[in-house]
Amino acid sequence: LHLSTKEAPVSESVLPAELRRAVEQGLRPVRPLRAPWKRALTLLPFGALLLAGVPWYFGLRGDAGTVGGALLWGLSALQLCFGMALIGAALHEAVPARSLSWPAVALALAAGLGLMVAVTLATDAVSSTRVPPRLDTFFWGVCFGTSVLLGGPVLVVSGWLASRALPLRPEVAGVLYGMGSGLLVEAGWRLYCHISDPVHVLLAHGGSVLALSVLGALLMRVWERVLRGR
Amino acid sequence: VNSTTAEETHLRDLMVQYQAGRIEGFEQLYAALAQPLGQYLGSLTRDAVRASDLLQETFLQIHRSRHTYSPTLPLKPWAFAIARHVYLMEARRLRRLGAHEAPSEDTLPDLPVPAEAEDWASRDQLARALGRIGEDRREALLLHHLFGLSFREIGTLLGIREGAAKLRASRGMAELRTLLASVHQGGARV
Repeated sequence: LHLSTKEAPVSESVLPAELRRAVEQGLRPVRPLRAPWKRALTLLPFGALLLAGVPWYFGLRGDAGTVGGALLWGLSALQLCFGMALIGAALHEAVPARSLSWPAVALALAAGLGLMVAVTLATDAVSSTRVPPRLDTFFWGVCFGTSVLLGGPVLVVSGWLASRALPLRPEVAGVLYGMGSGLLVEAGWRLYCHISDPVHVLLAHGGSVLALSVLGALLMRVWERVLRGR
Repeated sequence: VNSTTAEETHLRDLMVQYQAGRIEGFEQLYAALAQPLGQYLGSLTRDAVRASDLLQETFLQIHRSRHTYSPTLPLKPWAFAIARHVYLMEARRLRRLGAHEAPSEDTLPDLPVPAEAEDWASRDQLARALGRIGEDRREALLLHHLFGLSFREIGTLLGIREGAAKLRASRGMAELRTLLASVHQGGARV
C-alpha cells in the first residue's frame, strides 16, 4: 500500500452548505426508538392470539388430557416467550452499533431449534401419537402450510419494526425475527396438532420454523433494498 | 477516562438537541465528529476523495437515522457504525459495477496514527507500517487506540465478541511493533 503524508480533505470540520441545507430541509423533532424488548412486545398480542385462537378455531388437540396442562400450555408459553426474545434480539441487532456477535447469533438460533426439539421429545414421551399410515405427506402439508401462512403477518410486522431502525446486517436480523415468528406460531399450532411423532413435528413444524427464518432473511433483504436502495 | 466520559456526555447532549429539531445540535455534532469519522473512512477506503464523499453521505445517513440513537447509549460507536455501513454499501455498489479502481497517489489519505505509537518511529514510518497491517486488525487498532472506543463498543460495531476485538487490536499492535523493529534493525523500507 502506498501512503503519502498529505492531509486528507476529510479532516475539515466546517459544515458544508449543501449538507446543511439538506439537513435543515428535513429537520423535525424525532422521538428515539424505544428499547428493542419494548418494541418486541408489540407482537405479544399476536402471540396471545395464536395461543388462544388456534385451539378456539381449530380445536384443542385430542390428547390434551394425557399431555397435561403444564406440558401443553406451559411449554407453549415457553416457546412464545423464546420467540419474543428472538424477535427482541433481531430488533437489538437492527440498531446501529448494537450488532450481536456471530457466536451469539448462532447460539440464539441453535437455542431456538434446541427448544423445539426438547418440547417435541418431552411431549412425545408423555403422549406418543403417530401419523396414520399413508397420510404423512398430507399431514406434513397441512401443518407446514398453515404454520407458514399463520407466520406471515408476524413476519411482516417484525420486519417493519426492524426496518424502522437501520439494520446493518439485514439478513441476520431477518433470520432472527423469522425464527422468532416461527416459534410464536409453533407455540399455538402444537395446541391443535395432536401428532407428537418427532419425525412429523421436526419435518413439518420445524420445517415451517426454518422456512420462516429463511423468508425473514429474504424479506429483510428485499425490504432494505427497496427502502434504502442497498 | 473522565475526559472520555465528559466528551461522550457532551456528544449525547448535542444529539438530544439535534433529535429535538435544533440545527445547532447538528452543526456542533458535525464539528466534533467530522474529523474522526473522516479519518476512519479514510482508513477504510484508502482514498481521500471517496472518504470525503462518504463522510457527507454518512452525515446524511445519520440525519435519516437519527431516531435510532438512544440517549442512554454512547454516541460515538453509533456514528462509527453508520460510517462503516455507508462504506460497506459503497464498496458493495462498486463491486456490483465492477468499478473498483486503485486511487491515484495524489488522492491517498494519510493514515491516522495512534498517539501512543508516535514515539516508536516517525509519523510517516508509522503510517506506512499501519498500511501494511491486515484490514481487520488495523480497524480494531485504530478504533481503540485512536478513536477511543472500548473493546465492547468495537465488538458491537463490528458484530464480533469483545475478546475478538481485543485480540485483533493487540495483534495489530504487535504487528506494528514487528514492522517498525524491522525498520530499525535492517533499515528496510516500511
